[in-house]
Amino acid sequence: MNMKRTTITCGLAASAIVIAIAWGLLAASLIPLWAAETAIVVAFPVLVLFLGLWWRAPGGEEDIPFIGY
Amino acid sequence: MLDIGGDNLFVLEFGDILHYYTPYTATLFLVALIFTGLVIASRPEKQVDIAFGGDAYYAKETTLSEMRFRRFMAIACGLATMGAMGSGDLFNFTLFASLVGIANIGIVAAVKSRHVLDAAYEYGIVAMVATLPLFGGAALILATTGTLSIPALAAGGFAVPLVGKAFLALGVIGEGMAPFYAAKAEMFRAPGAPYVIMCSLSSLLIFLRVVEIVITI
Amino acid sequence: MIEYLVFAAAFGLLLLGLHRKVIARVQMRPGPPVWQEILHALKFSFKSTWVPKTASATLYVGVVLIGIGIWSAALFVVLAGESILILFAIYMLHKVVEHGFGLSSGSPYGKFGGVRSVISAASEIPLFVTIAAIYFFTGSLLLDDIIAYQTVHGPLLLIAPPAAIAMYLVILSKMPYGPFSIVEGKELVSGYKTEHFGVWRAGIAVIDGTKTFVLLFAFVAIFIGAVPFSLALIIMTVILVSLSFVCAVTPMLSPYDSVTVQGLITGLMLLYAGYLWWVMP
Repeated sequence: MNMKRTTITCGLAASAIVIAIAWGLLAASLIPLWAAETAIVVAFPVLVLFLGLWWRAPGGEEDIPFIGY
Repeated sequence: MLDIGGDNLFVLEFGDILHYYTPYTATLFLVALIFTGLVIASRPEKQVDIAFGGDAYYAKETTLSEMRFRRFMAIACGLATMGAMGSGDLFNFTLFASLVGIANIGIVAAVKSRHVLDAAYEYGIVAMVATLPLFGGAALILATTGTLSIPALAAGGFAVPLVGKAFLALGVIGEGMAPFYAAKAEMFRAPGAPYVIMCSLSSLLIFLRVVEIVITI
Repeated sequence: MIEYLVFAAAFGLLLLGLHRKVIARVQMRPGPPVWQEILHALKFSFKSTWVPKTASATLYVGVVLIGIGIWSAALFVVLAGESILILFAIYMLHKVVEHGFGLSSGSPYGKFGGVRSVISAASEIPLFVTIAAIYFFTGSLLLDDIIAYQTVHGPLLLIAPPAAIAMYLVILSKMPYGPFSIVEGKELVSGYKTEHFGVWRAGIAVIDGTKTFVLLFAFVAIFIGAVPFSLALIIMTVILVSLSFVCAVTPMLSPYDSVTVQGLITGLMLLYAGYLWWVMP
C-alpha cells in the first residue's frame, strides 16, 4: 500500500476536524452528548492510524527501497 | 420494562409484533452492520500453509464462484443477525437465530476440503438438533403466557416458566456454537477470513441478545 | 471527550508497563522502564507500514479501526454510567476483533492465535454470572444505579465477593504474560498480533491501553462504587499490581488446560448464581 502524502494529510485533517467540531458543538451544547461521542468513536481510530501513517508518509525523497522477503 | 439495556431508543410496531432498540441492542446491531459491510467490501485472504517435508510454503487461492456463494451466505448471516438484534417478538427471534445457524453452515460448507466439510456436517447436525429446544422454549412460553411479545412479557403479570427460558438459551447456544466449536480447528482450515469471522460474530451476537431477553422476560 | 480517550490510552499503557516491571522484579530481573509500552506505541507508529500481499486488505485494516472504536465506545459507556451489559458485550466483541486480526493476514501463526482467542470464549461466561449476581442485588444493570446502590449499602466487593473474583479472573485472562494469555503464546510468535506491524501495531497498542484502563476502571466502579477520580486511579494501580504478581508466579497454561480451568471457574460461578437465585427473595 502506498498512499500519497496528500491523501494521508487529508485523512488526518478530516478526522481531526471532525473531532474538533464535535468537541466545539458539545461545548456550545448544540448537540447531545451521545452524538459527540459517536463522532469521536468514529473519528478517533482514523486519527490514530493516519497520524502514524503521516509521520512516515513518502514525501518524494525515498532513498531506501524495501528489499525484504 | 426492566431497565437493563438502557431506555428504548426506537420502537417499530406491527400490531403487538414489534422491533425495538435499546442502547444495548442498537450497539449490537451496529456491530453486525459494520461487519456485514466488511464482508461486502473485503476480498478473502490467501491463507499461507507450510508444505511438510520441505521449506516450501504455498498460498491458497479462493475461486470466484466459491467466494460469491460464501459472500452471499455471510451477508445472509449478517442480515439474520441484525434481525435478531432488534426483534421484539420471541418467535421472530428464534426464526432469526435458526437462520443464523443455517447461514453459518453455508459459510463453511462451500469450501472444497474434506476436513472443512466434515466439520460443517457435524456442526449442521448440532445446529439442527438445537432448533428443538429453541422453538420448544418459545412454544412453552406462548403456551403458558399466551403472548410472544418481549415488551408484553417484560411488563409483568406473566409467570414465564424458567424451563422455557433455559430452553431458549440452550437453543441459542446450539445454533451459535461456532465459537465453542472452534476448538475443532477444522472449521478454520477454511480460508476466507471475512466470512469465517461472520460465523463467530453472529454466534456471539445472538448469544448476547438472548442474555438480554432471558433477563428481561 | 478526546482528552479522556488520550488519557485512558496513555494511562492504560503506563499500567501495562508497570505490569511488565512488576513481573520482572518478582522474577528478579531488572525489567523495562515503566513507560516502555508508551515508547513501543510511539516506536511502532514511526515504522514503515504496508499491507501483506496475502492479507484480506480491507479486513486487515478494518479490524484495527473497529478495535480502537469499540474500546473508545466502552470508555464512554463507563463514563456515562450506561448499562454494563454494553460494556460486557464490547468485551466479548473484542474476541471477534482478535479473531479478525488473526485470520485476516493469512499467516498460520495469526490464524491459530485467533482460533485460540475464540476457543477461550469460555472465559467470558463468568462475566454473565457477574452480571446476574449484580442484578440480583441491585435490580438494575445501569452503572449509575449500581454506584447509587453502593453508596447506600456499601461496596459490592464485600456484598458479593465471588462476583468480584469472577470479574478479577476475567481481567486476568486478558492480561499479557498471564496464565490464560494463550492467544499470544510464544510458540505462535506473537499470536494474533504477529502480522500486524508498524502503524497497525501502534493501533493494537492503543487498543490494549484503552482496554486495560476501561476494564480496571469498570471494576472499581462496579465493585467499589463512587470514589474520587484520583483515588480510583490508585485503586486501579493496586489491582493491577496484584494481577502482575499472579502473572509473575504462574506459568502459561496449555490451550486446552486454560479452557478447562476457565470452564471450571464458570461452573463454580454458575453454582454461586444458582445459590443467589435460591436464597434471594
